[in-house]
Amino acid sequence: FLVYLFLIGIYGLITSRNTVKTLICLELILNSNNENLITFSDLFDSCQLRRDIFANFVIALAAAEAAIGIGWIGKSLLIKTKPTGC
Amino acid sequence: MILSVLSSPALVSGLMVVRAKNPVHSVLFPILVFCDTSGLLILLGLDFSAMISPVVHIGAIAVSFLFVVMMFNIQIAEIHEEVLRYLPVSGIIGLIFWWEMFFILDNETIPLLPTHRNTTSLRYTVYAGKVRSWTNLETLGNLLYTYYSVWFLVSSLILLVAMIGAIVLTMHRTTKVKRQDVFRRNALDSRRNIMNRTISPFGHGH
Repeated sequence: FLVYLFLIGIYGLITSRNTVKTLICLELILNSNNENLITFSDLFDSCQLRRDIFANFVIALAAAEAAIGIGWIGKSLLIKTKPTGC
Repeated sequence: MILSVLSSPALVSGLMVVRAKNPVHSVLFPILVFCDTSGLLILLGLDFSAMISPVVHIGAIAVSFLFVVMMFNIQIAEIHEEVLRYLPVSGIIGLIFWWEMFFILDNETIPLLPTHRNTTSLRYTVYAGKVRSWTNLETLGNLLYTYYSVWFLVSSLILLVAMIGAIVLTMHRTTKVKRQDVFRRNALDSRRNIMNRTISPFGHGH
């Protein structure tokens, strides 16, 4: 099921004409990947809970990337609307 | 069955994120997706990740997306009549992707609920009351701070870099404002730099 979410995220990432939507779809993809990691951490033969911890780092990475992406997109959109600058 | 109750809104709202006409809708639907994934994580028995991921995803990421969408005039730049034209080719590509996923999964259906999580509990079947079973948070912390402590510190560095990057991006011209140098200002002695002029009461000047 999470695989479908990942596919939807990739589809939205490729075909989105709006720049903000691409970032949102990136977040969706990352979240679904994370879920996959956490879900299958019990089934596969991973000792010492490696996938759970890696999933935490992926969450931190996703948050950091979202922050920088938001700043970048927001700045570019701001320059389009207010060219005078304050 | 509970899984499908939670998972189908996640799929539907994931679709709606992509196909929403209003950009505000496309920010609100991932909030639903994140709620549903946290519910799924609760069903899997992972309480820590199920509580952390709404906090991070909804509270930080979705809120910042909402700020962007609210404050800037994002044009709804989609012409809706032309979307269905892409359907044959993109449908074939989508079907190929979907078909390949089943090869990766290797005939193993996605499990609904794992029956027993051996990694988190030290519980024997006989002495169930005596042996204390570890919570999910304890097991994660046990590994994270001892064996993987370097990774933990590196991830904190990543977050620091992200913070610095976000500040640098948005501060392009406001640093050229003339700022007062505080220490220099304190070093000015009032006796040397301010001249006191006394105006004589006769009105001639002095």
